[in-house]
Amino acid sequence: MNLILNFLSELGPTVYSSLELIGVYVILALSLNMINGMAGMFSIGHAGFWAVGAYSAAAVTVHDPFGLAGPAILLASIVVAMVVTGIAGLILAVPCLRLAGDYLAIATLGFAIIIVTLLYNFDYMGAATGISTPTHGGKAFVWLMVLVTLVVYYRLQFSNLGRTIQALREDEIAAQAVGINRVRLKTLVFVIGASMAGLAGALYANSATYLNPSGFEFDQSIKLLTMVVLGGLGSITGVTLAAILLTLLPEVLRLFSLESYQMIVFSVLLLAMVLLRPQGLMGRFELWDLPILKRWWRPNGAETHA
Amino acid sequence: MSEFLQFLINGVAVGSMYALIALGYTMVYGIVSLINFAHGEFMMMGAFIGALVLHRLQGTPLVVALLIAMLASGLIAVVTELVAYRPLRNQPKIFVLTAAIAVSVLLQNVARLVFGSSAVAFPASFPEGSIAFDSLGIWIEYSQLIVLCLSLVLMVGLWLVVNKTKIGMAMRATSQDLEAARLMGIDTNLIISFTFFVGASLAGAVGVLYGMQYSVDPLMGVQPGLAAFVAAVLGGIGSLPGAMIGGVLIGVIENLVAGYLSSTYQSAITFLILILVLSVKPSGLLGRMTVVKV
Repeated sequence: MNLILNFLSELGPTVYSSLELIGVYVILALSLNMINGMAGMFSIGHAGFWAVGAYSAAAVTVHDPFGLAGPAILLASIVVAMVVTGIAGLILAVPCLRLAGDYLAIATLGFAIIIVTLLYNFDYMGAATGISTPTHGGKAFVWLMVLVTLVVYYRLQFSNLGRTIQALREDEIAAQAVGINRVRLKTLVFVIGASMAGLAGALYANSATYLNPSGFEFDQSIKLLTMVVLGGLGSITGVTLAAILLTLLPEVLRLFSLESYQMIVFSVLLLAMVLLRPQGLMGRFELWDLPILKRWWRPNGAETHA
Repeated sequence: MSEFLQFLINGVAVGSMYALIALGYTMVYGIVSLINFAHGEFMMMGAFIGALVLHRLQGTPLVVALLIAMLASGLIAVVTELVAYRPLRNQPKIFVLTAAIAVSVLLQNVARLVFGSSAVAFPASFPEGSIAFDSLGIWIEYSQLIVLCLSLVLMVGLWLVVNKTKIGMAMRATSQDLEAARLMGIDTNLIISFTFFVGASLAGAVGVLYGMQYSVDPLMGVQPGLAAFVAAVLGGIGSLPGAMIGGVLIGVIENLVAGYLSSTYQSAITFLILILVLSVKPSGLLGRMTVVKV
């Protein structure tokens, strides 16, 4: 009983202090959801894109090559991070997307490992010791960016392009038969997803005071994958919620001093979800399916659920 | 020249271990079209169980410990297939892959919890010493010789099982066409379990060898597992001779890179090879090209 009371009283401050991290993970989970959920590709090295974004943003804010100051440098770092990560996505996509899904998985995994190896040996950015990063924007700014991401994601999903992508996911051969350019479209999704992860990286570099290559290892990619699978591949509402819950999970485990079980919890959760509820926690339910909102909020031509 | 020959020998010794792991990937892929992400962890489990047997039961002959490790790895793989992969066999591929990744992370962390996260020395080691070829300026260590011989024995054993036994014939039939094999009265579920068992027990044997040469830790399966996967793709996934050739090639390339450039970029080079193979000849050296039809 005491433990529970103690837990509840600590939960509030924990959530508050994790707000920035939650925002970063929501954007990351959404960006992976775009690749794995909306487009049905299979990337398991997403932390690699996150690392590219975080480090290229830090290169701008720490070394300041443009001679900027204040909020301008933050915006510049975001732009640089998104462009660099998008290019990284393009470089990876061009050789890999012509192939079947499982090869893409291994290639993304390899990409993430290479990125972390390079960062460990990259003296300009602190190598294995890491690098301190300045903070230029607070919690409000991070969540403004989350909001922007959500709106962009939502608009994309129900746009012409989004529907084409989903058609390709449902049946590649049929989609190609009606004239959809498979490779071009998949590359585009991959680049958009990667640069969204770059945005998350820039925000992370801004709110974390310190970057270290070990923070972008494979277990981070697993966490992101768990978020997407828990929330339901393709679901906006589900993945956002799952990202919030799973970012708090390690903090909650820490309150019970169970943090060494963290990756066991994540992997069991991942396994249990695919085996027992592959459609995700809420299935195809989205926020606009709520009866209160249903009347006046209906995405362009969305089917009605629930 | 002698330097090059030395790197070549070291590469073949490591490569023969990669080849044994790659055989497991390629056999499983050939039969259920699944990249078994947890395969490297079967190797790690073999290493830990071998070490545990030698540590707890002092005086156990190394061969017995090796056999127990192989058996245990095989059984872990059979259970994994039964619990995590079989229920998802008719689901979209993305779910089976996710399950495989989850099992891989789970096994790593269970091992970390049970055995601790730091690397431990294997209770047994290879006899010290080497055979020197002074005229060429190279030497072969006893450990490398033992690894090579044992790998050869296991590969020949596998070849005999696959090509000369009834269950081997059933394996080949199942990998050619699962539905047709079932219609011919082959218990395909049993064959799939058996394939997982054989592949993982080879990985378990490598675990023991690897542990003896280096050390044992929960993440020891990751790097050799990935190298072996690249080897399987390089050789042509689904092809047994391809996996052997691919394994030795990757071992040699890694050692040449480490020797002439730097060992830091070893895994980066491995993945570069993967991406090159996939872009130039995705069917690998000896693989068959498959075309998806409606």
